[in-house]
Amino acid sequence: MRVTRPHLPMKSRTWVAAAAALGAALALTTSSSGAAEPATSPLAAWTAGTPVTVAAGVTRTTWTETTPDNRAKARALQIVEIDPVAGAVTLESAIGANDSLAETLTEQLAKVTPVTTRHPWAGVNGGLFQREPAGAGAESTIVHTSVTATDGVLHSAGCWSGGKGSSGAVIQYGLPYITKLSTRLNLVAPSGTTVRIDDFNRAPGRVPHCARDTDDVLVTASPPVYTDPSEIVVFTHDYGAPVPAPGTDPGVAATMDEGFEVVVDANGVVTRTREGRGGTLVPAGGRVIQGIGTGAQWLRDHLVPGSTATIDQKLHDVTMKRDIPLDASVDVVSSFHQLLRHGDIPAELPNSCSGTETGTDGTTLICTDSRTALGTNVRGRPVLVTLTGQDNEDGDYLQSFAALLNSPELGIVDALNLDGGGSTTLQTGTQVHTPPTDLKDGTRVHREVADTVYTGVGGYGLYVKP
Amino acid sequence: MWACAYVGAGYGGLFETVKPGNADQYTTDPRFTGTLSGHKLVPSRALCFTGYERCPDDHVCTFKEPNGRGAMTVHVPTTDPATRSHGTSYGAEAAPRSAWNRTKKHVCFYPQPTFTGTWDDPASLREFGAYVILRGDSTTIPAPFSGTFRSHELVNGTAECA
Repeated sequence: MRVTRPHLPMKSRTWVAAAAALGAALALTTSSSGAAEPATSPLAAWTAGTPVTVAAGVTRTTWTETTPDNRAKARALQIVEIDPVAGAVTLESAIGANDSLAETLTEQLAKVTPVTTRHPWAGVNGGLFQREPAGAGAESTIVHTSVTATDGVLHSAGCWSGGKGSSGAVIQYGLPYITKLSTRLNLVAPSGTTVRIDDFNRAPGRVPHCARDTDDVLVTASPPVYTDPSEIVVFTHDYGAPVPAPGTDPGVAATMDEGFEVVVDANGVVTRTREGRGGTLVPAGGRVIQGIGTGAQWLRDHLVPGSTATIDQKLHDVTMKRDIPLDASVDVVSSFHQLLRHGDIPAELPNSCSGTETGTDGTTLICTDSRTALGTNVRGRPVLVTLTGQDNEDGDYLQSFAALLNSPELGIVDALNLDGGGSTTLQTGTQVHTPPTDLKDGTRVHREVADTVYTGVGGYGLYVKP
Repeated sequence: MWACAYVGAGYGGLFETVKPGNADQYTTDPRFTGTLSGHKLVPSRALCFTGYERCPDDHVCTFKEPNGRGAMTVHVPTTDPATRSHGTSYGAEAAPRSAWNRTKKHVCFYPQPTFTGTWDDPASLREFGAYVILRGDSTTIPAPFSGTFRSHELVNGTAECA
């Protein structure tokens, strides 16, 4: 049985009437170009290299600073453009071997598929993250900042941000849609009673980088760590490490809570509950739920072996005031800031910089934070962007980076700032094009990061079986 | 919201975009005057360049044009008693140039309506027996496969493809 549903949104009207209706809706007048273009393009001081074809539909172009701006060495702006019409290409995010560990971009891309001929064409590091302290004998695990998801599986809750959500990109059918995102997470007991889930895949009681809700109280400012003595945290099937035991951070008292732990199988059935928590591996397809404070008490009161625990999770587009359904085609990466929206720099974009040094003029500070961005251009194509030194760590202030991306030569319309600084990494094929910036045993290495955004093989031919 | 105005049916063919808060006119450009067949409102401009969003969850959708644009066919699979393939054999609609496998299984496409057929691979002198799109993935279909599919089946593993 085949159902054909041609999609003609104006099928009840004639073409002329349709055009007239659209004209009325758009208040037809002479078209307006919007904000005035800057007098001189920021890219006027840069030289474009010849675009390199990575694969059908994937090209990389390097812009090099012609005259270094108050610095000794020229910077490099690299742009990977993905044309979804020219080749069988996808756009996705990935977390590498599992969600608990950071890996280099190279390691993460290598794990997308075991088939070398279908290795991703290009990728960049993904969203913001923090490392958890290796307390109580635990491995040093990572926690995503704000909403992340791969294949529809949420790995972290959204930043509260006063109820305004945090900027992120929903990657679906080959496009990144950048908006303000939030999450609504609830655990539902067999009785129908619900309780809020605070987050995924981190130690309960220690909330890194941003408050997830109004209960989270700031403990330290640099790096930002919040706390909440009553939490419920769910560990997903792909967490990949033993769940944390009490005491991971003696500086955050809530992590010392012995708490309560529940193991749930792939069918949502509770298989084990116990006082205390930690050391458990998440079963295949299942979940582990930890609670502290009143969160632990809720678990004690409502979940027993044999009962069903339902996780109700919603991804919310704060800007458009609607939920985004989570299914296997949805990936999400997040940060704090959108760099370009509808072709303009948002007024609220701060001029952030973590690493400054004195420029070659001996007076003015320059910002050496490398930058990574994900966006779309005027041709509707996704772009992966990095700004770095050529063999050293360099970059720019956030507003200057946005202005660079807003250069008319690039035609970028929307862009999300991703994790920068030492995390910035760009790779095409198996070749890395950004300099290593972390020191490990005296050697410069590329940083291990939480996730990646990449363009990969959308479809492929299978040879006839012999 | 951005407005996207299309000449072709199903968000296909030539189109124009209008930025939020702006306007445009269609009285002087002969490509658009009296030719619009549809429009949509989207939150970002890049979404004007695709039509994949029409595909409902848990279905395979194929499209007459690249990048999810043009006339869409939503496939409702059946189990063929002869071949035991769990899929769809196409009718008279145009063979697709892009597809979204929005299901929890992988999909194998074939050039014949009987879940069979091959394509030549000049590079290897071998023949392809199926074109695979993994679960959740959407893609424009490249040569030599573009515009040739006449059936597909849903599988748990690609080894099940013919």
